[in-house]
Amino acid sequence: MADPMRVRATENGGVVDVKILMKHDMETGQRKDASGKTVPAWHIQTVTASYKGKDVFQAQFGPAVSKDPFLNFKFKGGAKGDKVTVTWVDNRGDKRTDEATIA
Amino acid sequence: MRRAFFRATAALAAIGLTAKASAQQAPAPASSGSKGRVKVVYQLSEGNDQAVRAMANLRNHLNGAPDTKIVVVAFGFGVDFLVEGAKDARGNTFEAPVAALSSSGVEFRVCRNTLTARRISEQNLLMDAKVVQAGVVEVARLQFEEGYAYIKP
Repeated sequence: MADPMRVRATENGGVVDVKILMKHDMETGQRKDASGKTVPAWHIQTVTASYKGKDVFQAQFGPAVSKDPFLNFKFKGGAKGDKVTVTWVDNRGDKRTDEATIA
Repeated sequence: MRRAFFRATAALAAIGLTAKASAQQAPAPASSGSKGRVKVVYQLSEGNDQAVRAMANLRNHLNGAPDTKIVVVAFGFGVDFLVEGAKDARGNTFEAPVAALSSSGVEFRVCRNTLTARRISEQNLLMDAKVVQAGVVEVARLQFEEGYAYIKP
């Protein structure tokens, strides 16, 4: 199981600001290890965030995204106390889902 | 005269031997546990100038010994650098160095008692910071229970 994400969501004037810090090595597939062998690509491919069962954000990540990616987006119509759920899937099929309560 | 001298040196040598023997025995249990990774706790409690020094220390530490497990415990004025938008004396923010250290395995733990006392919201901390109940308890616990070495930069 992958390491947990940090998710933080704050509401201000009907707009919810969501900050996500993912823990992932994001191997590009271009790097070589000490013995000269290529380190296989291993990175997040999709990130989705949903609010009340409805997707409010979708992203496709590639090998150019840094290690431990940070993501910040806003959406309208969220209310304090509700939950935002964030899921990523990487190219090995690993998944991680975390949620945060809107403050 | 000469005999007395011999006796004295023999006695001294014997003392030396036993001292050496006990010295060899003493550290053995400490190192025999095959602890593997060196673990270090950094205490930050003195504000942003200390944090700037610590950033350099942490980088050097990981350059010299990349395998080290490092935990930074921040409390008192030491939490300031982990608040969003915090700047050092030259006006640089701490976000980039903290994120870089965090992705090389350094953990940042913040004292909740400090946050409460100084009315800092958990929402305003950098994403890399994790909150623990009490900074001092954490520093003591890591050393006593988990065998961390202690550094205060």
